[in-house]
Amino acid sequence: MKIRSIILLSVLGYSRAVAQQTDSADKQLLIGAGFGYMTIKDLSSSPLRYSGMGATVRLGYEYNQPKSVQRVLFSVQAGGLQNGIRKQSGVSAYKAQLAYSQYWVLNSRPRTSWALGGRADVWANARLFNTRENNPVSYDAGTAISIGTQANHSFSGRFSRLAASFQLSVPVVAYVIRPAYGVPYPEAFLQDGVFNHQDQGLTGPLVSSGRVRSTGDFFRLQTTTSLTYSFSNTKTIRLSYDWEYYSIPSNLPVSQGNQSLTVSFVKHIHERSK
Amino acid sequence: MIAKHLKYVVAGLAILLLSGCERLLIDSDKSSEPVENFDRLWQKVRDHYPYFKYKNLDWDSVYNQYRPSVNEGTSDAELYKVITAMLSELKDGHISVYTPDNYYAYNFKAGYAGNYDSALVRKFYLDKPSVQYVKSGGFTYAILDNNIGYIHYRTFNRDVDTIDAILQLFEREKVKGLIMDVRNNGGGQIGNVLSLAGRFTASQLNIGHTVFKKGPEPDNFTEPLRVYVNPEGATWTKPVVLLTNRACFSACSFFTEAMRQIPNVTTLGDMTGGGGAMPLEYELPNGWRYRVSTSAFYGFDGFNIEGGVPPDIRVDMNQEHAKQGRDDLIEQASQQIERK
Repeated sequence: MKIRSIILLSVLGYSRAVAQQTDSADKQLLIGAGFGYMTIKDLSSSPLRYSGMGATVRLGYEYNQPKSVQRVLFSVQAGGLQNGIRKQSGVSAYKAQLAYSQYWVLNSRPRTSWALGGRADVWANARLFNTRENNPVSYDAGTAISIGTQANHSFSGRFSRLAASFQLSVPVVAYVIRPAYGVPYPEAFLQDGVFNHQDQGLTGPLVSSGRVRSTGDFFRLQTTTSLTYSFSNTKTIRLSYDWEYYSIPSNLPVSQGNQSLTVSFVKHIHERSK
Repeated sequence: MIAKHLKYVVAGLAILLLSGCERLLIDSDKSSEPVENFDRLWQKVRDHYPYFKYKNLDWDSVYNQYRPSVNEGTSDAELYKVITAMLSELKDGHISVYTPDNYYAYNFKAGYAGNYDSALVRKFYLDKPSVQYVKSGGFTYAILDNNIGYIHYRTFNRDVDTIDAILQLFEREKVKGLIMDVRNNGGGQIGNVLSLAGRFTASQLNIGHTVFKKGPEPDNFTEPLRVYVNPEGATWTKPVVLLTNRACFSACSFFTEAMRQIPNVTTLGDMTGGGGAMPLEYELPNGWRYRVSTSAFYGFDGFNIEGGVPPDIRVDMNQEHAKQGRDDLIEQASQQIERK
């Protein structure tokens, strides 16, 4: 918990140092791809930490107004992970997230802005242990409402086409699905005292472990740092570094870290208003 | 110049630092310490294994027996030897250990006759001028010379839906009955068990219950959870003889227990291999993988299938008959169907 607090404070402090001007209305469509690195420890399957490289893609829409920012972003990340001991024990990890963010600008200066807001998102993380017969899949999924902050900065002089941005979010409440055994069978059995695998497949049991959690038993920190270069008023390219850490405590806890470096092409639907 | 850009340099370094933090937050329990690995395995079995009472085994006594053989200086080879000796006390075919150099699984077939020769079945029953056999998914099927349908299903890991077309073919050809052969079927997915059994009943059937081990004490179980077979796909109502042997294990034993509760089904052959649990696979801190049973299934009358499901009619293959191209189980199954 102490480490988490230090990280959170560091990130909040850092976010004030990054900046970009947001004094005009702007709609953007974004498509990007890049590389990712995942780190996982999932005690439903192993006490070992797995990590490895992968790929990521994203699609987004952003609406910037002088006093607010709205964003919808869908991202997928996948990778092949190893435990550093045995190559035969590989894991394929998948992450998908759809997030809607809304920020309100608090102080808009000539080249910097600082915004606070929130985010609602749905996500699913799956880990496929390649060699296992009855418990090959471990997963968690859910939806969360988070508070967040965003800082933007536009550079000047010969870097005037360059802008930097930093975003951070932390959930305050979430509905998290995480089967206690790592396989859904026990929840299926316990649902109404009947083994219903044949009738419902895994549809019912898949979600039956879900429950509402607050920050005490579900922690997640997501940050995005990006540099944007404008070719013109309608086309920009963006280099983003995303970092996420989350932890779901339970009798078989799971912790996961996701990093990704993404290059996105941004199409501005309307020209900036001066 | 440096001072002007210092805050950006600091910001960039902060990001790099943060990205490295996740390895602090997500520690690894990786350890090659022999005692820790032994204890982790022993505890996992204690918490999940459902048959201590059924097998009259005191797991604490087992710990006291084997733990003194492990210390800081124990080599991997010695640890493997101690661990597998300890696990052998469970006499459970679902228990296994995989190391980089070795693989352990309890031999539940030791001392039992094979009672199945796939080459014999193919040569003398399926691959003849008058009989054409077909492979479809996990099934091998044919209409035998005596106009009896024959299906061999080799693993419950293969989807069962293709059996509908086979049963419909047999129906069109007006076969007298069906020999369902699950000999040497080592098990697989429980969903396929219920789905396949669903082809042989016209109404919902309560075939028993299952419990999960949920704590360290030998009697820490979930409440009994009923298990049903529901009608599914093409329904087969003619006589069925199910052929079993000791190598019919795990999901195959589960299937045999379900089928023997269906009125038009007769089981014939040898006791199945048992394996009534659902095994899950984990890892030790040294990277060795292992499987441990986690649940127990009981038939409708409370019969525990862990030790094997006995046949309605006990038949062993006679080796002299086998040399002459006769599979006694198929022969007697045919007679059973002819009599009905």
